[in-house]
Order: sequence, then C-alpha cells, then structure tokens
Amino acid sequence: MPERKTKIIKMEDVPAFLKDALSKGGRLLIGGNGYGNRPNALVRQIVTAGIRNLSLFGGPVNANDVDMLVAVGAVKETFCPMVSALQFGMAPNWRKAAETGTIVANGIDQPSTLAGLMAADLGIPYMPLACMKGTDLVKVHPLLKKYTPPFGGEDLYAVQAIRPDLAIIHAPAADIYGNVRDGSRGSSHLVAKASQRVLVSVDRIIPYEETLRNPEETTIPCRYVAAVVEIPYGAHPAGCTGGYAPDTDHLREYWQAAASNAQGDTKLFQAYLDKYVLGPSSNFDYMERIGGAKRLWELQRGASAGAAE
Amino acid sequence: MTQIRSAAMPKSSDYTIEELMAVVLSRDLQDGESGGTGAGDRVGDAAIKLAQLTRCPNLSSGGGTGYRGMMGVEAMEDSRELIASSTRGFDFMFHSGIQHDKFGNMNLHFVGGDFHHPKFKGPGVPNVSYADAVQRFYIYPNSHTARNFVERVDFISIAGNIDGPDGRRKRGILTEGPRLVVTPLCVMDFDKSTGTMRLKSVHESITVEEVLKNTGFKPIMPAKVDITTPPTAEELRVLRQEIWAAPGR
Repeated sequence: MPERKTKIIKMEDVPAFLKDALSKGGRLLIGGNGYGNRPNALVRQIVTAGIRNLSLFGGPVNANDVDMLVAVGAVKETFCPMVSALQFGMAPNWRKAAETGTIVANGIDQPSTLAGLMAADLGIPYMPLACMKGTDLVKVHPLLKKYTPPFGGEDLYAVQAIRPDLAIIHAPAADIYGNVRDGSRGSSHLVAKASQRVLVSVDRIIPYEETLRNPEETTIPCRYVAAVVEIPYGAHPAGCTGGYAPDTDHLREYWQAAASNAQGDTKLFQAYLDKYVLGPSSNFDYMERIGGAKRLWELQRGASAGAAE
Repeated sequence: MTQIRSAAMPKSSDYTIEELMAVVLSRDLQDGESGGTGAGDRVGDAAIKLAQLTRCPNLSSGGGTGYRGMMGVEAMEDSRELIASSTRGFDFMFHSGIQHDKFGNMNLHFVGGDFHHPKFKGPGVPNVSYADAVQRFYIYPNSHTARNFVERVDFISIAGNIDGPDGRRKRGILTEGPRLVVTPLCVMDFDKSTGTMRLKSVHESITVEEVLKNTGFKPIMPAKVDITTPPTAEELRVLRQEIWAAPGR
C-alpha cells in the first residue's frame, strides 16, 4: 500500500514553488489583515525569487507586504481595498507607484473581494451584492456590474468570481498533511478554497494525532493546501494569533526606509532589503538579524499581553 | 471589573481634544445598540467603551469578525459576516476621510487628477457599505482645515447625503446617514432642508471665526452657537484609567 504524501516543503524549496505557481506573474492573494497573520516570510521569498507581473489581492488592510512588493517592481496592479502603514501613516511606495502610473491601483473593497472569492469557491461566475449604494467606488470597480435580478426586486451588483493563481497564508500551526490551524475565523478558509493553489507557512508543525484529537480546530482542511513550510515567526514583522505581537520598532524602520525610497533616496531602502530580505542565509539568520532571542521573547510577551494584531 | 478610584478629579478645562471628541461621540450612543469602528481606531474605540462602561451595558461593537461586549470579545464570526453586516447593517459607525464635504461625503481614494491618474493617492477604505447600511454614522477627522473640509469631495468613497436632502433616498438608501461631525475645533450636525453641515457648537477656547476660516465651505449658522459641553470628571476618569491606561482593552 502506498504511503500518504506529506505536504511539507523546505524553506529552500519555496522559491521553486513560487516560480512554478507564478511563472507568468498572475493573481496572488496575500492572507492576513493589517499587522496580523501576514505571510511576510513568504513575501520576502517572492522578492528574492524575482517574481514579476503580479496582480495582488488581499485586504482588508494591506501594509508593508504590498508596499515592499511594489517597491521592488514585482507588481503590475493591486486589487487591495486599503494599503496603509496604519499607525505609521501612508504606504509611500504603493502611493507613489499609483501616482506615477507604475502600477494600476484598482478600486475595490473588502465585501466585494469576499463576494468574488465566495463565487470562486462555489464555482459560479459571480456573486450578487446588495450593498455599495451611493459610493463612487462602483464607477471604477473593475470586477463589478449592475444587473437586474431574475426574481424581481431592486437592481443589484454582480461581483465577478476571484480565483487567485496562488494564495499565501501564515498560520500558527499545521500537521504534515496540510491540515491548518489558523487560530481565527478570518477569511483564510474562504481564501484557501477559492484559490488554485495554496502555500501555507506555519510557526510550527503539530503531530497528526493532535489533528485527530481536535479536528474542530482545523480551519483549513488539507485538501485545499498544496504545500506547508515551517517558518517560525514567519509573519514577522506582523504578529501571529496567540504567538507574537507585531514588531513596531521593525515596522517603523521599514516605513522610514520606504518613505525615503519614495522620495528618491534609495540608500536606506536598499540597506533594509540587503539586511532583511536578500541577505539572510536562513530563517534562523533572519531571526538573529531582527534582534535574536531577546527580541523574539519580547514579541511573545507582547502577544500574551493582548497586543497581537 | 477593577474599579480604580482617583482622589484627584480634573478641572473642567483639564482635558485633551482627543478626550473631548471621544466623550461627544460616546454621548450620542444608546444602550442596546450595536455598532463599530475601524481596527486600531483610538477615539472611536474609546467612545464605544466609554458608553459601555458608563451608560450602555448592553451596547455591543463588532464588524466582520469579532463581537465585543462590555468586557471584551464575546464571539468570533467568519468573514462572510462582513458581507451580511454590510447589507443588514448596524446602528452606528465612525468614519473619517482625507476630504469631507458639506453633504457629509468622505473621500479616501484620491485628490486631484482622476482615479487612475491621481495627484494624491489616498489609502482607500476596507468597506464603503458601512455608509449606506448602518442607520447613522459619525464623522470625526483628526484635523479640521480648509483643505480637508471642502465644498465637494473629488470622489465619494463613503456616501453622506450625496448631493442634497434627498440624495440618499433617490439612490435607494433608506438610512439616516451622517448625524454628527466631531472635529478638533467644533461639532456640526446636518440641516434637514439642505442636507448640509450646520455648526452646532465650538470647543472651549475655539472661536466661530476660527472654525469658518478653517472650513472650505460656509456651514449653516444657527441663531446661537453653543460651547461644546466639556467632559465630566467621571467620563475623564473612565477614559484615562479604565480605557486608555489598561493594556489589551
């Protein structure tokens, strides 16, 4: 009898996986929200793999993840409801690229993103939406059409199905077969089901017996997952549910570098990329570069004080 | 809940604009209501908690995922709830933009040029439907200048009264829309006959002239402009000691 295949891939196999899934660019969805549960280690791998021509989906709020991919020229267009540095202000590289026409920043919001993913999940061409009244966003939304519903009633908006070529997700844990514990009931379950392929980074691999003991804690069943890679602190500088808080000092360092880059002085930003994105020889090397054991302990303590996300 | 009593009660003038804004917003919320604000929004979040802790123990807040009662998050829903609540709605919501106009429309997408050739690109907004689906909303920008209070927004991200007293109804929106505008300078409400902003009160130490000079349109002027009622000592105590000082709240 053949053995059940595991979904585990090694960190060093990630670039090849990404190049295969996104060989011509395509639609990439980045999971998480704001500074919570973002697959930032995988985002850095996209930079080092030299992926180009991406159409980025995400939401509700994307931050340094999208800003960095735009800054390195990996992005053709964004379908992100909001791109912001949040408490640190605006996202300068994304903003400048939209203002100069380097990228197309499409107008879309989160309910319409979710509706498009739901349509893809259900295998139907569009999903009706009964909201978005009175806003100018409906005039520029690239995936929206007003239509008269067949059973009467007021006109509705149809959102075209969104089927990403690849979704990248970060979660606290998964087993070797790809049963993922997301730790929250955000949109990652829907994202995983709507996407053609799903790559999940996790802080740790849990024993399969643990999945069998508490199957209700599995938020993404393995059938939707193409590969799992164990990357401790893989959301950093974002935080991860129950594990560690966002690294605000590191985020400030990123946004300062991003601001000067958008103003035409690339030195700080290149130094950031060299130190944290292109330079690290391994994830452990990255963990040393962000401050090592002391910093990681501080971020863990931050999460237990309720500061995750 | 741990009650921290302070011996020193602040004087009525001893408060910040941020505290005043949270208090004014909080006082308009009613017990039993349900509403929400953006993630990481300090003032809107404090307004909700202040209402819960002083007058409204049955008030709940939440959006696409978590639902929060008086003591913290009580329920998690999945992401589809964001669509459901964008259709079914809430009682109230807090909003602010990079431009606000006299009809209470807000813009977070761009200023100058057009959508795909913006002079200034704004961050966008996660959910435009919390303007039409919620019963009422509050506008509370952290600055008030002639540049962010304009005659007409360049783009309606969040729909206020749109273009007049029946602007919402003409578009099939049956909810009240914008109710109060609470800025660092003043409080405005909306004139029913025109659907435009009307000066209601100015904050202590702010003059009517200052408000007019910093507003890019002429708000409707009432016969008498009040001074915004300052926070009470108890409101300040709850804000400072139970909301903003408490980690993880």
